[in-house]
Formats: sequence, C-alpha cells, structure tokens
Amino acid sequence: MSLRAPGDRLAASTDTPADRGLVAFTSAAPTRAAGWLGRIPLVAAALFLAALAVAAAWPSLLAPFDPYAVDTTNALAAPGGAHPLGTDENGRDILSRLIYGARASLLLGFGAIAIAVVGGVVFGLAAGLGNRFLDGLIMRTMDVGLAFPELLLALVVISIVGGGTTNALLAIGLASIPSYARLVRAQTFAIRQAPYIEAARALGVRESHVVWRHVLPNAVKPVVILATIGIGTATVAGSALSFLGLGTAPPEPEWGSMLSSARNFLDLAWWYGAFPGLAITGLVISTTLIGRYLQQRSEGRGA
Amino acid sequence: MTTRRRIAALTLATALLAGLGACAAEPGGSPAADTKPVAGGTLRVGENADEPTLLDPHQLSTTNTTTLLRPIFDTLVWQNTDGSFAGGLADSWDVSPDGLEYTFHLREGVTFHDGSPWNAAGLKANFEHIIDPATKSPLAASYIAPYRSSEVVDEYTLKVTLATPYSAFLNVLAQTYLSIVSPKQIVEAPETIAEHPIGSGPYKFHKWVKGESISLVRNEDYAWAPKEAKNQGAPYLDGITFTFVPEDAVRYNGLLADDFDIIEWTPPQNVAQIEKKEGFSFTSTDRPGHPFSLWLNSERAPFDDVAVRQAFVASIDRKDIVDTVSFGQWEVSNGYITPVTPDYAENASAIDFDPDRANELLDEAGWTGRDSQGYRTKNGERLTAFLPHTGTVAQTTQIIELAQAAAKKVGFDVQIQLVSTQEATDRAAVGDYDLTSGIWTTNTADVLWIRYSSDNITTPERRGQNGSYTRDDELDGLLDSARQTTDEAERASLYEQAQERLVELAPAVPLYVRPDLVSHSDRVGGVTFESAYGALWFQDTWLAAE
Repeated sequence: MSLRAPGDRLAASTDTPADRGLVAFTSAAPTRAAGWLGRIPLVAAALFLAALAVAAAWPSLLAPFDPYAVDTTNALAAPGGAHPLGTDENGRDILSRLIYGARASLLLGFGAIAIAVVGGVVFGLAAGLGNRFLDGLIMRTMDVGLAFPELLLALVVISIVGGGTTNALLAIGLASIPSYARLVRAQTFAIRQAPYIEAARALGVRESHVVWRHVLPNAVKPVVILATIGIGTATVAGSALSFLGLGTAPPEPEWGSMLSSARNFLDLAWWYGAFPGLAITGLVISTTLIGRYLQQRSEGRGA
Repeated sequence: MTTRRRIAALTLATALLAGLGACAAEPGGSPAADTKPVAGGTLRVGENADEPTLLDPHQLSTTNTTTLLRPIFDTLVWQNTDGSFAGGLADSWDVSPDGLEYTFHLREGVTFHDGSPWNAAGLKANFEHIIDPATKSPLAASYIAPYRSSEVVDEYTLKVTLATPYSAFLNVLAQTYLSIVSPKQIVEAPETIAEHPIGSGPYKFHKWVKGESISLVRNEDYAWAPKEAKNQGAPYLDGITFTFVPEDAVRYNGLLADDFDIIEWTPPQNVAQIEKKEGFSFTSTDRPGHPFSLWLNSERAPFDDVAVRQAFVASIDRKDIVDTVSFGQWEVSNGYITPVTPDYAENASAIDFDPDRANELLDEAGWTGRDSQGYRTKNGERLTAFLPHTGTVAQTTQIIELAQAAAKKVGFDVQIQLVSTQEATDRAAVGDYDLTSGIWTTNTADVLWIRYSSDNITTPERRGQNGSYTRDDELDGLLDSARQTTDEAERASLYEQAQERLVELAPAVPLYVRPDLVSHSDRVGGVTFESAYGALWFQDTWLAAE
C-alpha cells in the first residue's frame, strides 16, 4: 500500500511520546546509575508478576502439597515446618493454595480487563467516529454505567447470571467497559481532527483503512496503559466477589475466597488471612507500578 | 440434652466458684454468681443475620423466631425442660380416647398488651388466623394441618376437633410459631401484626429498625408466667434490644467490647477463648428435631440407587467433620433426629464411617471404572453429585468442602455450585440437585413425617418438604401410624422402627445437633433456655447494675 506511508509518518510526528513510551519499555537502557536504583521496585514488580505467571501456568512445579488435600488433624497449623505458610481450617497447605490460586486471580484480572478493553475500544471507536445519534446512544448508555460503582454493576451482572469464576470475570469486565469506552472516544475525537487524518482522507484513503491503520492504533495507546493499572483493580474486584461468595466455587483455591474464609479466624490464625492478603496486595502494587511506569514513559517523563 | 445441660450446670458451678474466688480479691465482682436478681436495665442481645421479614409468628419459619418472639407472646402449652407439657395460656386440657377432640381449659385473668381479654373465642380466632390461606403461613398451618374446627363451650373452654388423630399436637402448640396473638388485633387489623405484633407475653413490642434491631419493653402487668419460670411476675429487665450482626467476628468482638451483654450464635472457634475470659461466661443447649444434614435426592441418578446412597453416607467421617468445623462444640448426630427430641432411638452403629464398606457397595452397584482423576465411572459416566450452595454460612461451606474431600476418597465427584439464594430456592422447589444441606428444628419426631413421608413430596399443587424424595411404603406406614396413635409407648416403638428403616434407606448424612451457643457478660444473670425449640428465654433474665 503506497498510501500508507504518509499517514504513518504523520502519525509518528504528532504522537511521538506515547509511541516512544511503549517501545521504550521493552528496549530502553537506563543511562545513569541512579536509574537502576530507582528501578528496583519496578524490577521487583516484574519479577513478582513473572513468578505469578509461572505459578498460574504450572502450579504443580512450585506447590509443595496438593492444594485440595484435607488433613483435619492439622487444621490451622502455624507457619513453619512442613507448611511454610501454615494451613487453613481444613488443614490444607496455604502456600500450595496460594500458588494454585494464582491462576484464578490472574485470569480474573487479565480476563476482565481484556473484556473491558475490547468492549471499550469497540464502543469508544463507534461513538467517536459514528454520527451524533450513534455517539449519543452509546455514550448515554455508558454514562448510565459510569453512574454506578464498578463493583455494584458487577454484582448486578452476577445476580442475573449467577456466580462462578467465568461469570465473575464477565461481570467485572462488562462493568469496566464504560470507563474505557469514554477514554477511547475522547482519543478518537482528538485524532479524527488531527492533520494527518485529514491528509489521509484528502489523499483518498478508504475510511475503513483510516480507522484501522490510523485512528485505532493511536487511540488505543493510552488504553493499554490504563489497562495495566486496571488489572490490579480488576483482581481486587474479583477477589471481592469471591470474598462475598460470588466468585470461585469451593474447593477451588482463590485468593479472595481464602481471605473470606480466613476472616473468621483472624484472632486464632493470622497467617491464614495475611498471606492471601499479601498476594493480592503484591499483584496490585506490581501492576500499578508497571502501569505508572508506562504512563510516565508515554508522557515523556520516564526516560 | 441431659449431658449438655449437665455440662452447662457444671460450667455454671465452676463459674460460681471462680466468681466467688474473684469476689474475695475484688469486691463487687461477678454479680451473676452470688447476688439476687435486680430489676432494671436494657439487655443488649447480639443475633446473627437471620432477621425476620415480618413479625407475625404465624407467618414465620426462620430460626431466630423463638428468641425474638417468645418474649412478646405466650403459647397455649408450655414444654418443660424434661419434655413434659404444662400450662401456658391453657391451664389444662382433656383429650378424647380416639385422639380427635382436645378440650382446652384456658387460664383466666390474662390480658393482651392492647388491653383485650383472653378467652375461648380468642383461641378460636388464633386457630382460624393460622389456617386462613390469606395468612400464607409457611410453618404454623402445616404444623396443625389435622385441625378441622373448634367450638366455644364457655368463656374459658374451647373444644378443638381434629380430622385425624395427631400425636404431636401439644408439642407444636408449645412452639413460638403457634404463639397466641391478640384476638382483637387478629379481628380488627390482622395486617398490622407483621409490623407491630401484640401478644400477652412478658415484653411488649417497642420498635423495629429494619436491617438493624428490634427492641422490646417490659410488660408491667405480666403475671401468668409458666410454672417452670422462677420469676412468676413481670420480668426484671426494662427492655431487650436485639441487634442483627451478620459477621461472626463482629458479633463476638461486640460482646468483648461491651456493645452487647449477651450473644447467640457464638462462633464455635471462639468458645474456648470466651470460656477463659474473665468477666464472661458460656453456656449452650441442644436443639430438638432433625440434625443438620446433607440430603440425598433419591429421585435421580446416582442417588436413585440405595446402595450408592448407603455408600455415600458410609464414606463421610461425620465425627471428624463436625469436630473440625465446630472446634468440638457441636455433638455429632448419630441418627435422623437429635437426642433431645422425644422418641429418639440410639441407632448409631448402623451409620458408622466405613470407607471400605462404601467401596464395596459402589463396586457391587457397578461403579467399578476409574477415570484419570480417580473418580468412579459406570458405562463411561462419572459418579457425580451436584450440590447447589449459597455460601452464606461459613461453617456450612466448610462442612460441604470436607464432605466433598471425604467422598472423593471412595470415588465420588461432588460438584459444589455457587448459586444465589433465589436460584437455590427455585432449584429446591423443583428438586434440581443431588445433594442439599439443611436442618429442621422442631420438638417432635413428627419431623420425620415432614421430611420423609411420600405425602410431603412436592407436587405441582403443593410444595412439600421431603427434599430427599424418599418414597417408601414401609416408612410411610410407620410414620403415619406414629403420628396417629394416642398410645405413647406404641408411638415410641413406631418411631424407633422408622429410625431404623431410615438407616437402611440412607436418605441423608446426619451431621450435627445444632446447639444454641450463648456467651454473655457476667453482669447478666438468670440465663435460661426454653425447651420447645432450644432458644434463649428472658423471663428470669436480669442485669446487674454497673
């Protein structure tokens, strides 16, 4: 396609910071020693997420015990010895359950955000590029969604479709669509009036090509950054639903439901609640750190 | 009951000694132990989340009904601690030899909170209110289903005629669900009972803050307490406030923080702590009726095969589960009614935990295959049982998880399905489950008829309570005869045979006897339970001054 080049060059010239930010995350080399020190939390976050990814993919590699193995003679055993993080009220190994629970928690976080991003992009683009009627229809619907807290919307979805991991994932994903749609629409508005779009149109580029090649990539960049931060929030929302008994069905291990069962034993077995809580906190802080980093890079402050 | 009561008495005695000891060192210590009841004070009671949606006893079936409404209402009959019956609002009664006619001689001089008098017409009005379809009674109406009509003989005598003899009639009349409501209110404004109930009990309804609390005030005129009460006059307390606290830990810590004087539903894991805490006491009583159980749906596969049901029951280490979940505070149930229920027969040996026998039974039943995850299969189908579960009660979730793990060891795949309360209700109505959990508290072995008679299987016309879909002619015959006989020895023998038959039919895994676990500050004296349900009863309760 010979017509692609001018548009892309124009895009690069108007939208450099975001473009560079994304590239920089994978390839930038810090230039000063202070940069390394400042990046320790970031590296730790990345390592933590990598460990979680391994746990989610191959839990049996890491877990010392069968996460479902009940041992009532060993209920609520303190950390140490055979069970490094102690056992729960059914004598199951908490470390193993945390490791096996990583999959459900990550799936909830990433899956929900994937739904939110895809939905947000579709609706946001349609609203941003469509006529006033379509824009109004979509955005007023999204405004209604935005009027409710995400968790409340998720609860509404759950009460209609029922609990379970998949439904919780869907519920949080659907509930998060409005905020992404709004962002994409705002981006689309800015982009569609940009000189390079006008130039592409003036050159006779097909509308669908303009949308796919020029509008979409530029509108989506800030969404990716927002989504990285959103993964943490979605994981917390998923854990909250499990905490309320609406997420993962027992005996499947999930951090939120572990926390929920642990709350009745806080004064007897601190470890039962503390470790799932730390795991959730770690995941949220890690994704937020990385998200913030991406955001700063995209705004030209990170390098 | 006796053992637990004895234990409670022992604990009390120990507390008394400890209290006296404390008194020596610290004047004015535990008042409950060594002083006489004093009047005054409002008792703050912490309850669980089980708040009624309305306060008409005839329209209720919830667990906390007795604790909440016994103070407001009297019942016609009073059940003593030893299981015998005494006068409530009836002084005495005569039963015709055929068991079809009950003549109640009513207590004179009783006045309701609205000033209206108590008489035979008032009792008749109560019976009619209970069976009125407009009342939509979920429990009381079915408890007196054999009631046909009644006739006012004189001001204080009512003759009640039953359609069939009903051996549990007096038992159920002692329950709060059949409380006597002000006849004036029933006649003039029955719709107001739900929001502002008027009875004749020791306390008057005061205020209901929905989602939060119910408060009551003393009935100064009360002078018709059951003989069993130590206090025959108006109650000591100025009032009672029941606060609904769903979170176990919040309720328990609320007691420690002096937000409450007494709590029901003490979290079992905290009992050992509260027993050791200075200034607090713990006591409990077991409840009658059907123990908490997992019911097996015999209407559909795999539990339509009695061998598979027996195998499932044998695969569960009931004592281990109950001890673990309750931290030793609940008694494991060895039969299909609890030991404090009249006509209980000890039949534990037949429902022992025996995984070898479970495996044998399953082998014989043809579930000989094993799939890659170790579950049994037959003709390529896995031995699966679905259990819809709302997850609202932590201990129930834990019981289910432990039962699931136990059954897995002999090859059952128990699938827990998280559902909303609405979905659970809908599925229960149509029998869409293989396993379901629950309990039925009542003071008669007739609970077996309610839960296992084929008359009580849900039909399109009528919602029944036979959730295990048990259909057995022999059992039906025993249960029908037992509820119709007028001879106590014969009734006991029939119920014993019924309990034995149930062990063979294996319609449920009986798990634990639900107790009322009560913890209270030592400022509270006279903590007692009524026996018709096994709930707190406040006629003798008093509160020491600060």
